Amino acid sequence: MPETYTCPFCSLHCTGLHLEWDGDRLNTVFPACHKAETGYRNALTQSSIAENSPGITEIISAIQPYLNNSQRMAVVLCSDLPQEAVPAALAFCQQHSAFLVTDDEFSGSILSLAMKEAGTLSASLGILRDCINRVICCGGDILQTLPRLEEFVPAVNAGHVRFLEDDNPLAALQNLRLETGASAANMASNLDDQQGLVLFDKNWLQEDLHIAAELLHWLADLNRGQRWYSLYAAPAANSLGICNALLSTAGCPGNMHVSLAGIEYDPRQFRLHQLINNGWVDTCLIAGNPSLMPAALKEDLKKVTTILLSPEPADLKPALTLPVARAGVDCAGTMQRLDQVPLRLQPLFTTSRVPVEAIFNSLTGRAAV
Amino acid sequence: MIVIHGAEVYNPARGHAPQPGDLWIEDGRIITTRQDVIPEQVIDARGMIIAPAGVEIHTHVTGYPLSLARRFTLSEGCRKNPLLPSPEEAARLYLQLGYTTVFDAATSPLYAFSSYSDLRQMEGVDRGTFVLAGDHHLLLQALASNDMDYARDIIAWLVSCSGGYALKLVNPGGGLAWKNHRKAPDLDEGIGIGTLTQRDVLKRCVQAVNQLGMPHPVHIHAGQLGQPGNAVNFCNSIRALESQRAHLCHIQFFSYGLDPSGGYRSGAEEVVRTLEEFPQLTCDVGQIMFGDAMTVTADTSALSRLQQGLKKPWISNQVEAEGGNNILPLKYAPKDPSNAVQWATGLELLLLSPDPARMFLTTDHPNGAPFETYPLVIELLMSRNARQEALHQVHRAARDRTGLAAIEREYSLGEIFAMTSFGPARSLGLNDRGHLEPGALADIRCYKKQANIRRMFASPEWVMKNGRIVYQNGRVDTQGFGEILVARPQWDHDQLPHIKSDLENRISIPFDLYALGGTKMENTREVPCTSTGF
Repeated sequence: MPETYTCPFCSLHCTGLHLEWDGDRLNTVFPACHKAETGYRNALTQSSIAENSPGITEIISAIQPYLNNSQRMAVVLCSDLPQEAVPAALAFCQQHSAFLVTDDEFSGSILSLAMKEAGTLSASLGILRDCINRVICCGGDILQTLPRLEEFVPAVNAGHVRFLEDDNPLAALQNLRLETGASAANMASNLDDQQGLVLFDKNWLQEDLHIAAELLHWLADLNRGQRWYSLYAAPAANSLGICNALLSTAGCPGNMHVSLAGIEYDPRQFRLHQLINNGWVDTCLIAGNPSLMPAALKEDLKKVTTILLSPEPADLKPALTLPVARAGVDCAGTMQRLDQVPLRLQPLFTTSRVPVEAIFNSLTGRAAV
Repeated sequence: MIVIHGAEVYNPARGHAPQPGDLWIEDGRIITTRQDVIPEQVIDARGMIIAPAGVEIHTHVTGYPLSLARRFTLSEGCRKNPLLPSPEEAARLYLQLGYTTVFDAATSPLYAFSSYSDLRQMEGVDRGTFVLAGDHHLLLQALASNDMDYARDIIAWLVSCSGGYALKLVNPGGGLAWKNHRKAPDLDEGIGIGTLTQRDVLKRCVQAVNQLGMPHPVHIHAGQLGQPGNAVNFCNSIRALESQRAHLCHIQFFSYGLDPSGGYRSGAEEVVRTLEEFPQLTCDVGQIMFGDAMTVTADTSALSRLQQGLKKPWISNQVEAEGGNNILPLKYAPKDPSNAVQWATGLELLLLSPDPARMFLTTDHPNGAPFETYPLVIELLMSRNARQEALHQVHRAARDRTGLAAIEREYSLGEIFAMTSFGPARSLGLNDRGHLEPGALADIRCYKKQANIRRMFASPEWVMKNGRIVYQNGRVDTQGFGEILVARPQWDHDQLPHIKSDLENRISIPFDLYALGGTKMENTREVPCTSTGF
């Protein structure tokens, strides 16, 4: 009986996975989904290449000249990183008086500001599994983002799901408001039978906050007579974990400038594309896989010196690329599921790949000397 | 060897009066005076007051609920918010106030790893956390079938696997009721599992924890939090404990009488009178102070009611097999009659309680106020004039509906140290601190004597942890200090398969990943479970 693993490739973090592989070839993932199969297959290929991965000394030597030449730096934390990377990155930014942003500003600043305005009712997946009988998916790709969602929320499979497309979220929401308003009286008469879940993706967290806040306000209104939980369908494995770790350590979820004088938070100005286009940074240190970044932002990155610390190759052209360990494959690490339950991921095997937090710690220590 | 020379020494283990004489320290602990040795270092403390460092018995500074709460305080510019410091910052702020031991009051087992991650950041202080179980399905089932052996095993397992120090009950059955669209049960109402009542849960859990010999007894947040007239229910809850050892937290929120108008009046006298019948109980007050506060609680029923009244946004997160995490920002206003009565009731409780080693100062940070307001509360306790002045600046309900105005008592310095050091340490079963007897940890605070009490308590001259100065002249040195204090009560490990099979279908993660998921905690100190009470 093989050991079981926790999947690091989406924010459901399915547990109890059985894996069989032979060298760099994946034989079995069970239970399977397209994300786990692709993710593990790529990870095995990469870790086979990783036999020749640079060690910590080589990594530091390679990065140091770029840091020496940089006047103003931004550190980007990607959503596949474990939470352990956050305090290390923060210390690094403090020492270098750098900007710190995430690749998923929606999970961080936008969602936080919407929740501040409207509040929210959520629940862990065990509760949703047992009591939810209606699901509204705000975002057509949610089942692609979370392939095995129906196993956690059976109502999805039972046909009690409704999809709202994201081409015009506001209109879809207004229609929904009218519908639910009309039927609220009926629903309220039989509360136990009416527990719902609204899942929304990042397309519903628009930059002006309007839609996200409108969505949460609607849920708050609905919850005066019923019980509707909501969850953000985070686009990547640990979007919410990175955000929460930043909230715990820095007090804000990204979009910040960190220096010895303190932390400055500006969710409007301190966004990566603005930092680059305003000429406020000349170097970007990207930690993790930047696959979530929009194409336009990847174009912007060509304007600055980019250092990429990623477990996989990316469609960027950085000045320096260094392969690093992935939590749940090459090293252990903590990630948060989409209900924000922290899960400790164990490695499949040991490789010479270095975790991102070790790199930040080492860079900080070196600079301190 | 270090000698602290010339100070006025307050050692609460020897009463409330100051003692003259030097204090000798070796290897981080207090030792008896040595005549035969020349010390390596003499700290001149003439004109100073020396006392054991503060021990915080109830605060909320770590874990997932605090991340949720921080979303409510986001503001551009990221100004430091005294209500929600980072765990690292909280440790530093506590040290600056003279506290070297800090207990976070609530960890839900499912989110235990978040608490542990935060506790690890709190270098500089000894710290720990209490494990929530008042709505834990497994425990309630065992209690309902009156299988006390199994209930004890579940408690011991829950505390151990969550990296906790004590068991916390929050309005037992209240979370379960809310999830099932029922009102929170009263003391003798069924909570929805067999014939189990809240009274049964309180009584049986207290008994189980005491039988396990855990250093701190059950930490109880009772029912009907914040409701006018709840003092009656609270006194009944005290009696339900049947003279067993327990700790009752933030009791100000449970000490209200019912004014004929339907609003609050103080029930402090009745509560203190009842508490005096049960000397094995300890309490902390949960004082509110005027200004911003943040409600952070597992009591979904209470916060849901408050939220419906205030009609303000809240964040509520329900947890499988347990209660919930709930957040609601508040502002206590001096001109609000309810808030004024709440403020006066807390002070009344402290001033009416004869033994400061049983009634402790807390603000239930950040629920009542930031812990940084302790110096102001201390000033109000030590100065009747300061109280009278404050009373005239708040709504007259504080004078009309509480007995505060008539209380003449002024706390002495010795009583303050008993209330903030000795008492909480003893209640926590930490016999190595809270006093200055030989063998105690050299966790010490030093103040320059001055008339301005508030300023004195806000700015210790220096603070010592394990015999080394960790705070002085505005500088904090936390590196390498402080441990995570844990309790690991003994239990029958043969029960693990039963616990596993009973819990597994209630949770959405494999049993092996539940709580800390077997993660080996670092930098811990296990406090033995050998308590026989005090």
